[in-house]
Amino acid sequence: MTRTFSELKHLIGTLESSPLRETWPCPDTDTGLPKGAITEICGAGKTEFIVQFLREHSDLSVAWVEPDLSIYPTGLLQRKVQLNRILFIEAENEFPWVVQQLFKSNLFEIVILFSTLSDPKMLRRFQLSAEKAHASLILLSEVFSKGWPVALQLKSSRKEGGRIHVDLIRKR
Amino acid sequence: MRVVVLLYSNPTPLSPIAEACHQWTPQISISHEAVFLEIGKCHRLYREESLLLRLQVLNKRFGFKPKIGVANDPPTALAMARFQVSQRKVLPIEAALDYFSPWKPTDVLNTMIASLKKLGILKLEDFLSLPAKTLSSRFGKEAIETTRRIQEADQTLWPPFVPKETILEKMEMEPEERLTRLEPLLFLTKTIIDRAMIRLKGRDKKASLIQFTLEQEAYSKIKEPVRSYSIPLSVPQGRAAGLLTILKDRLEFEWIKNPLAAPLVSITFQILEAVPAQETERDFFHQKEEEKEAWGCLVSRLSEKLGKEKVFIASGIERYLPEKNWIKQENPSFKQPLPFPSRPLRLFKSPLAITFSGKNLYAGQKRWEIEAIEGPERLSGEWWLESFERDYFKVTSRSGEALWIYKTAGSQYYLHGIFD
Repeated sequence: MTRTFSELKHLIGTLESSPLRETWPCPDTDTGLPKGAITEICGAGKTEFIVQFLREHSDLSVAWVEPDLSIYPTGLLQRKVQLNRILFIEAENEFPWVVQQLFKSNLFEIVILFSTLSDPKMLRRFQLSAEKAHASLILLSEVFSKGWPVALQLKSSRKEGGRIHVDLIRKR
Repeated sequence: MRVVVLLYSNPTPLSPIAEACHQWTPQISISHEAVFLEIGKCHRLYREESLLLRLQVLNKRFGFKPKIGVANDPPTALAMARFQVSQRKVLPIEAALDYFSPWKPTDVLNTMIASLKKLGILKLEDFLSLPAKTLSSRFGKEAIETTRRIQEADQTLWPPFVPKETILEKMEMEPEERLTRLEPLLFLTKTIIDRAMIRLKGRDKKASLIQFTLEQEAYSKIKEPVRSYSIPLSVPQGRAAGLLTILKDRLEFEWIKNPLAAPLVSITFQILEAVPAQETERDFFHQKEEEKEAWGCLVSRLSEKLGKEKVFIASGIERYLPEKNWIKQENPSFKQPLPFPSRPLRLFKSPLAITFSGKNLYAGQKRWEIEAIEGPERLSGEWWLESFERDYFKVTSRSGEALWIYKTAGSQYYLHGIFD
């Protein structure tokens, strides 16, 4: 019985996925954000969405990684997020190494990376590290990656009144 | 007074051990062969038995196995360590040398001791029982002095131990074990870093600037046989494990550009600068101290790799200029910002010049079709710093993005941030 490569990948994904994966409850989604896995969010308002999540979970320690830092801490303060629990890192081209070290340290429950990743090997390394550390990697991307290691993909958009709406694109 | 003596049989550099022992007592002295610790005033801090165990562990880390003696005065403790007895009354007559000169080697009493042994006086107590009037005529003035020093042993003067200014540990390689690869080098380096950090802990300090020097075999073709790496630590380190990881990252990076050209002859580790440590007691139920150390190590490594300014915790400050109303700092306090209208979550380091054409807004290659504009919000002031005057607008595009733009006094528009 022959199968296509994508069918086999899907089969592996189904076998590997745990229906009992722990999640953090998340506003505007039914699924919650999975622990020990990668969540990818694209679209307008993605940063706003994740900041709301951080406000809801004020006890989590967070590492915020961007190759070229453009996040505005005053904006986070305005949205009532405590800055003393977020470590900001401007990683430039070293962000893969940085993310690995953050997971290895076991100091952070959430690692947020503002970057579009297309290399499935890199995604797979991140997924394994996140799983081992029982922490979550939140990818804020301009476009969705085609990497199968991503456990959850969400598309954000702004509705009238500035409210953020999130659609589930894929869940593994 | 209560004295612990560590007696070393082989020639050993004793300063490092003495420095490491500073964590238990400030009163330390060293001789050519022993380290003396006065612990009489520390009985409320630790028990004698636990200190002896810790001293054994400390010496094991240094690779030594001293003899240990404990008594109420330095010469008795030294003699008990040397002859491995637990009571003064069983000390042999040779112990008189330790009472006569505990800090320096001497052979002044050798003749007297030989004479006493011929007379059958084999124990120190037997010597003390001799009539004092006969000592001088039979054994000379040294016998009188020895008796006095034995009887007044608890009044022996301590020569103070002053540690060296900087901590330096060096390891020289045998010809057959000279290394060229990183992993075995780090394995050996761990030993000297461990010793240096124990000494630093004795001073109640943490390292803030270290130097690691590698000396290669001096072949004629090698331009740089000695390589030194100075590593400033953004978060002072108190443990060897954290330093070793930072050193490994640095050497991996350096050796990719410039690998070793010859086997190593010696490695030197030096602590150039140190800051006071704020150690607290370990919590039995939580791992706060371990987490704090791990945090410090991680931040130091990231700073070493990326630059000190690239790794930070942010804190708000009270200023009206948007790009200046937050700072990077180590220990921020949670402050509510000034009551502004809503600010974006993304702020560009350099605002982008924008132009308008009809309902379109252009910034570089990007175009947005304007749906709505809110504003203006006028921000101005700080004439005492860098005076500014800007009118800010929130622009909502048809695609749903929200932009934060401003107009200067010269009517030029810039894109400053995005409500992402």
